[in-house]
This record gives sequence, C-alpha cells and structure tokens, in this order.
Amino acid sequence: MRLLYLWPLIFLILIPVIIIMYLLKQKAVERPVSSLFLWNEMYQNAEANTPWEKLKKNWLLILQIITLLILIAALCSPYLLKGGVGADQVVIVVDQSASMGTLYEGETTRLEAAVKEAVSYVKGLKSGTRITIIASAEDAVLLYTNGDDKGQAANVLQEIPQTLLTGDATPGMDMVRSMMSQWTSVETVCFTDTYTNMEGIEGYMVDFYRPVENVSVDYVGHGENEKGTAILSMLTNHGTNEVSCDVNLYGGESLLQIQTVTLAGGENKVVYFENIDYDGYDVSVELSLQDALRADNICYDVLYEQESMDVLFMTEANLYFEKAMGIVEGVNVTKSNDIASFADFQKENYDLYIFDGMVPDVLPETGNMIFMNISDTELFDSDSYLEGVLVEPAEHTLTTYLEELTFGVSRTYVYAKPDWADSFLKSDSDCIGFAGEYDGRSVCVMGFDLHNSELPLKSEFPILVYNMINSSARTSLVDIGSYTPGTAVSIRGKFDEEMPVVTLPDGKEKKLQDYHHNFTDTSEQGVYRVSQQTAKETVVSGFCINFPIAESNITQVPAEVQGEEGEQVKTTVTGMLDLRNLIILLALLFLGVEWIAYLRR
Amino acid sequence: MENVFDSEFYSKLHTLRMSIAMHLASGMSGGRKSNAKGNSVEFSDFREYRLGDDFRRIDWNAYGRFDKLYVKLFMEEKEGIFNLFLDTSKSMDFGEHNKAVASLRILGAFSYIVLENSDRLYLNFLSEKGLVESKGYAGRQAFPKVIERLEGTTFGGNADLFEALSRKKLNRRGMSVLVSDGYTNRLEEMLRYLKLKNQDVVFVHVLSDEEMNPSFDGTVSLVDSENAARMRMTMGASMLKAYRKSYRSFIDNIDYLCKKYAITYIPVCSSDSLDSMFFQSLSKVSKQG
Repeated sequence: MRLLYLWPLIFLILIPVIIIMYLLKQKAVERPVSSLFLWNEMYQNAEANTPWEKLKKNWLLILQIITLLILIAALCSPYLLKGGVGADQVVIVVDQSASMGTLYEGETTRLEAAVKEAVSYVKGLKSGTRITIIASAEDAVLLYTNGDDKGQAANVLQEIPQTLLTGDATPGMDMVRSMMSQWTSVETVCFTDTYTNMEGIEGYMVDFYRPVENVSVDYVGHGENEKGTAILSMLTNHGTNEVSCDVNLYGGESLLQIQTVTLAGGENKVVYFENIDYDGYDVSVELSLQDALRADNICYDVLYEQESMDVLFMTEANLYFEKAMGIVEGVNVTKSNDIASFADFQKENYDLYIFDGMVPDVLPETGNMIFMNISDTELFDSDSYLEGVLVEPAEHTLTTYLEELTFGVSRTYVYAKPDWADSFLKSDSDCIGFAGEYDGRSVCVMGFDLHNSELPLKSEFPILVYNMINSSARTSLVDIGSYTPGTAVSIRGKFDEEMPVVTLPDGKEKKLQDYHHNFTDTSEQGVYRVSQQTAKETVVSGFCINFPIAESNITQVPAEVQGEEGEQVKTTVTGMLDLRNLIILLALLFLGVEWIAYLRR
Repeated sequence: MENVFDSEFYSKLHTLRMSIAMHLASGMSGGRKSNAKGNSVEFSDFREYRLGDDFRRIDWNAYGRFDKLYVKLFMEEKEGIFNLFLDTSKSMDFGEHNKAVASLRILGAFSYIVLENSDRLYLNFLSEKGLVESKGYAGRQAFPKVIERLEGTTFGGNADLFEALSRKKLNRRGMSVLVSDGYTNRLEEMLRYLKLKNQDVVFVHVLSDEEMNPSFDGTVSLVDSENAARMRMTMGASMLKAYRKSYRSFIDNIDYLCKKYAITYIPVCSSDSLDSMFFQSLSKVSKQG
C-alpha cells in the first residue's frame, strides 16, 4: 500500500493531545464508602495504578485514537498498485486549455480531475523513474524535466494553472516527439479532453471528456443608429437539452437590459439589445446560468472608435516608401502622380499629404505634410545641393534607436533649417532633413530621392518611415476589438509623450516600458483599457479578451476518435486502487463502535 | 435513620422461641439451668451427706431405707450473663440497607431472647469515646428499656474497637456477642480478649451489599465515612475483581480466626430479610435440640 499524500501525517500530533485530554478529563467523582479498610488492602495488593495504566483499558480512548489514525490514513489517500508502471522514463502531458475548465465531477473541473489523476499516477511510479511534465494549450511549457523526485513532480502538477487559451495537448505531443530521441524507453501519458494524435509516441491518453450541458456567448458586437446604440449577441447551446435563461446586458458594472431566451439543444441564436442609452465604453453580455463551463457565459465588447488616418501620396513611383508605409496600421493610402489634380484630392481633407518629388503650387491648408526631394516651398527653402555624401542621423525623436544608421546619397538638397523645426538627417553640418510643427501641423522634410540613396537597403529604413508617419498620425493607441486570451495586442503610443498605461480587467495598471509594445499579458477575460497622457489630452482606447469559442465545445472527443486512429484511450491511470473510501467506511464503523461503547459506559 | 424497630420487627420477634446454648457456672439465680447443683425445685441426684451440707436437704426417706444420710441434689438455676457489644463507628451507618439498622435489629432480637430466658443482659457500645456500658437488664419487662436504649444509639466517628472493648470488665463467664463490620486491624485481639475473659463469643459480622459487591465505574474518589480520607482510583473490571479478592480474603481470615478461637461466626448482609437474619443467623447460637 502506498500513500498519495504525506502531509496529513502531521495530524499524528493529535494523538498525544487526545491522551493528555483524557488524562485531564479524568475528573474523579466522589463516592462515599463505609471505610477504606478493604480498598487500602486491595490497593496494596494491586499493581501500581499509574496514569498510563489507567489508560490501558480505556476503550473509548483506544477507539478514538484508532479512529483518528484511520482518518489520517484516509487523508493520506492510500492506494494499492495493481501491477505497477514499468517504464523507467515517463512523460506527463497535461492539457491546460480553456476547455479543461469545464466541470467534470461535481464542482471539480476537468483539469483538477486530470491533475489528481496525474498525481496518483506519479505516486504509483516505482522509485527512480525519471519524470517529465509538460503543460500544453496554445503552446507547450516544460514544467519539470527528467527528475525522480515524485513529491516535487506532484507539486508541479498541482500548480498547473487553468488557462483560457485555445489549444489542446498537441503542442505537448510535438514537444515529446522532439525530446524522444534522448530516451530509450519512455511512456507518455496525456491527460486531456480533446483527441490528440499520439502517432510515434508510446503511451496513452487519459480522457477527461464527458458530454456536458453548456451554453456560450460566442460574440458581442455593437452598432449605432439614430435611437442610440444597438448590441448584438450570439448564443449557442452546445448541449442536447433545451435551456432557458436570462441574458443580461451590462454597461460596465450596470445592468442595462435583460432578455430571456430559450435555446434548443444544439441551437444558436442571435439576441439584439436596442436603444441602449450608455455613454461608457465597455459592455458585456452574460448568461444567468450555472452550466458546466462558466467562463464562456460572458462575452465583452468595447465601444471605442477606431481612429484611422487617410493619406494622400503624391509620387511618380516610390514603392520603397509605399511598402514601408504598409507596416503602419490604421493608414488608408491614396496614391496619385497627377499633381494637377491635387486641388480635387484636397477636397477630401486628408490627414497626411506626402509629396515625393512634386508639390502643388499652393500647399493644403489642413493636414500634416511630408516632403521628399523638394527644393523649396512656402514653408522652407534650399539654396544648394550636395552630391555623393554620407548621411547620418541627427538627434531627433524620428531617429530614436537609429543612431547607427548611415547611408550614401548621390544627390540631395541642403536646407536652411527653419526655426520651427529640428534637423533629423545631416551630412557633416549640413541639414539634409528636418521635422517640426508649423502652425499646429506636423511637417517633415527629407532632401533626396530615395532612389538616389542607399536608405531603402538599410534595415532601419522601415523604422524611419514608421516614425515619420507615426509622428504625423492620429491613429488609435490599439487596434480596438476582441481577442482571445494570450494574444499579443499591439499598442502604439505616441512618442515624446508619457508611456502608455494598460488597465487590466482586475483594475491593476501596467505602465509600458516602450511607446510601441506587443502587450502579451492578456490571459484574463475582460476589458483592457489603454491610455496615454499627452501634452494636450489623455488618449484612451481599449480592447477586450473573450473566451475562445472553439473551447466551448469539444468536437474531437478522444474516445470517439480512438477507434479510427488506434490510440489507446483510458479514463483512469493504470494500476491504482484507491483505498480512501474503504478507509472512510472503516472510520465510520469505528465511530459507531465508539458510540456504542460510550452509551454502554 | 429509618424506624429500626417497626411492627414487622415485633411480629417476627414473637416467633423467636429459642434459648441460647451456653455453659454457665456462676451468676445470680435465674432461669437458666446451671451445671452446678444448688437450690431449686428440679431434682438432679443424690449423694452422701458431707460435713457442711445443709441438713435441711437430707432426705429422711432415704435415711429410713438405707440408714445412711443422703442429700438430695437439685439443678441450680442460674442467670446467663450476656454482653452485647455494638460497634457504633460511622462505618456502620452505611448502605442502602443500613448496617446500623440491621445491627440494632439483631441486637434487639438477641436481647429479646436473652430476656425471655431470664438471663441478664448488658449492652455495650464501642464508640469513638470508648466503651459506653448500660446497666444490666433482666426479665422480659426490661425489654422495652433495652429497645429504648438501642433506639438511642448514635453512630459516628472512628472508634478504636479494641481499646473500647478492653475496658469492659468481664469477671464472670458469659456470652459476648460482638456486632461489627470488622473494619479494624485488631479484630483478632478483640476476639482473643473476649475468649481470655472466659466468654462464649459470637461475632455477628454485618456488611452491606455495597461493600460485598461494589459497582463503581470510571475515575472515582472514594471517601471514608469515618475519617473523610480519600482514595482516587480509576475503576474497571480488574479493580473490582481485585477488590472482591481482598473482600474474600477478609472474610476468610475472620472465618479462620473464629474457628481458631472457637467463636461462633455469623456473617450478615444488611439487606437480608428479618427472617433470614433472625432464624438462619441466630439459630447458629441457639441450643441444639
């Protein structure tokens, strides 16, 4: 017999406590006798009656100690090995994807049941077996490598967190395949609720899938009309039974509307909430339902408006710049080589005008401007040019992180830097490029044709273009929308302002370390608010993280696919006979005996 | 204490018609036939006249027939002397069926028989203060006084039984009845003292059910009724078994002593019925046949 847990042995300390309590409890009852004459005689003849001997035949005490020992034994979860596991090396892969959060037995989730089973498996291994533990969902994480400490391995298993990530044990299996070459004999046990291809891997799947009743909120979207905001929500009943429940629409923490829906088994339904009068930015739709998977009963949406930038690019042909602009998100580019039609284009009121080698007679009155290979305009002037020079960055926000950039230019204008601008490209002391704010408009000037320079060949080129566009941009801090947990969300703060701050669903704030950041701390469901304090205002945007729909319903059930693919699927680990229930029954029996003994006293 | 001498006692008492076997040689004239020949109406024997004989007792008919002086001998009727000793220590006042009540009833019955037989009765109380003696009682008319005296008995304290008993002057042969629970280390000395004083001794050993078969359980503090001494012990089957063993040994030892000193031993349980106490127990001391 082996024990699954040893910590309950700490309760053995209660045995002396019980004995002491019994000794203290023995309060004598006064009983008169005619004379102690005979009792004294008896006492002298009898053996010494020490306190310990008093306890010798105290059946209640003995029964209580036995009961305590049995209860401790039950807590230790003793088990018998039916056979035993023979491999010298085992790999345990635990699926920690969102679907493993589905209830399995009572209030125990599939992951909790899987971990319990995995711990049983580890405890049942023969001593010296090398254990490797991998948690798998979207990616595989190696948690414990080639160790033989079963206690530590059990702790590692018990600390595997439930994630909201999509995925299954497949990445874990891929990792096993890549590691297998270093082992001669290995048994892989995969604890999952989704069929996983174990081709080429010796071992089996422990299946934690059970058909459950689950309804999910798959999607929440919004729109505006003259009556206010309308919210659309899509619900799916993944179970087989008809379900009727309330669908609650929340604006932030406030309940805005309730609708009652009835969904037949397998049905999906769209629910509309109309005429919503809500001036906040985050809404959520939640089901009043206690089903097997609670996490997918709520879905969030954000009402922030995505800001995009319209750009007019006047150029004969500048694929380099055009391609480089493609990396800037939220930019709609209109390209033209017909400067004569500029007046017509201008009517569209573009946010940014890029003039490459051509410039209209009259500059636009609104919008930011980028000039390339232009000698003079009403804003600046060039009276000379250079040929065959080496250009290097000047200290400027546009050249942040580009300090090492140098490139050759065959011909370039040299400018007299205006007062409102700062140089960002120079050749020796000559100003080749400058940027600044003129009359509230961002103006950036670069004195050469890209085709006459090495700049497009430099790896820093896209960054420089990005910075140039971004300095003139009015795009959102983040791409507003709904993401699944674990997604890296790109946050684009403005340079030269305070660092963007992300407020997590739980209210914690995270100040980013960079203006542009791929925010990956998105494991929590809910609304993420992104803000940046600029000199003029606080720019606020946000996104939401929702339960991955694919995890709401498992389609690749291990037991069903097993027959086709031939993988061995079990519902429990080999060789374990759990004695806990038996011992609890024994404890109850002893409690009954103790009760009878107590009554008969 | 409950009513000791109730109507049941008296009704049983009148059925007691027994005389106590006792060898007497001295004492005042009484209703008991002495082994000594003396003055009475009951003829016993003849013998030749000797100098000093009362010539009034010469049988002149015999002189006429045998020409010798014969004296008629008559059985002299003497009083039996009965000393009843009662242990009045507090230990006697114990038991659901009180030992003191049982003892007093036994003594009452004894007294009745003694007085019915025209013997002389002395009541002696062995108490904490020593020996408390009564005057002598004789004749059935004295019985109410005896009862009154017995009813006035108080039990208490821790009497030194031997010390009290040894103060009793027993100059004449007689019968001594000791009623006690025997809880003394000097019981043998007491019995031997009585025997040395030429007494026919009867030891009525009175114990209660609680003493014979105690039924304690758990941890108890036993309190001695005489001196309030305490003894703490955890009772169990083994302890009670050990007690019973000590009790058996105690009884066996007294039985042995009584046999050794030719003492009539009458063990009595206080819960016994009056019938049992009177007839089964007292019959041991009644005259055989």
